[in-house]
Amino acid sequence: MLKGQRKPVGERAAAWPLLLFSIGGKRLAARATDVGGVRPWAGAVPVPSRTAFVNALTRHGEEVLPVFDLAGLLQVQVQGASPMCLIAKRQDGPMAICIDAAIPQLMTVEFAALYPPSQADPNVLWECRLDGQAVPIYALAELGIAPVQTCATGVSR
Amino acid sequence: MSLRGRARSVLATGATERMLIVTSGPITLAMSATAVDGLLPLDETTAAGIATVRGVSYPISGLAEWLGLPLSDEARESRVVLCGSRGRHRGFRVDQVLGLTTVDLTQIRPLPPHFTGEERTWYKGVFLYRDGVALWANPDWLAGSDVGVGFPRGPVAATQSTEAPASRPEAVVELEVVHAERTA
Repeated sequence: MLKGQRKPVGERAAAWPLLLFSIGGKRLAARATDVGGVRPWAGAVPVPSRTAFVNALTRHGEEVLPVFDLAGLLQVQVQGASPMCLIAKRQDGPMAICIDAAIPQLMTVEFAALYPPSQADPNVLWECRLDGQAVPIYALAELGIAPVQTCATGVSR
Repeated sequence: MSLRGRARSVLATGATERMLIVTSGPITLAMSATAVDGLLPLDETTAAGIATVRGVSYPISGLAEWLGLPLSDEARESRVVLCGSRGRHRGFRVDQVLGLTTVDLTQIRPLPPHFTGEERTWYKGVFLYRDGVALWANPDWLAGSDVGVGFPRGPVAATQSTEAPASRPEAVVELEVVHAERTA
């Protein structure tokens, strides 16, 4: 997933395919390669837990996935009567994230248009501006695991 | 009591585990039959406090509350499940007892690695049950822990108030396992 990210800027992919989605009306993005799919939200079974923001399971057919409560992390409520389920390809396995009912959009952003997040957030890789609005690009592969090195340190991600 | 040593059996398909399936609030929990001493009807004597049955004291808590889960509007606690493991005992008010079922151990999945906290010791796994998912509770945690998920300081001190009379053993519904075989 992250191979090649330590290459010099000139060797990096010139464009990043992103998936745009929203939670609580807040626009977010993720690298399309970190997304395993999007489908209707099938509900969740709570799992009493001490792990921050991981406290439920969702079932889709024979598949059972842990649920990451990104809405809880963002301190917002998922909007819409029929929310969607975004499958995040985290490095230790896929997990489900409940997102707003609005259908996510695929788009491509030039790497040059990315800039470090305005507010330090270990879960955010970069930000970009879309329609005049800053949109954080979340690091789904490491979401909620460990601090991601910031661009300010000079380390490419 | 009646289930000890008889709940795990080996069928032609492999090892199995007998489990009591209960619901409490939004959760479906599976308890190893070996850890279930019996069931009590919910009445004023078992609603809170400590139930004493055959000389054994069971601190009683609402399961959903003990797990730190909200009670749904439709939830209506109807039974008390008496649990015991390694000499520790606890009773839980539950909404429904869905039944005693045999689960093929090959159907048990480990808790996903995304769960990294203390909860890894709380559950022995998860499995598909009906149209949902059941959590298989570790009986040592269920019966032995003084601290529930929803009770940072422990549930017992806050709920001790009444005792179920020890003279009512007839109220205890023992679970019988039919056609189960003891494993070697």
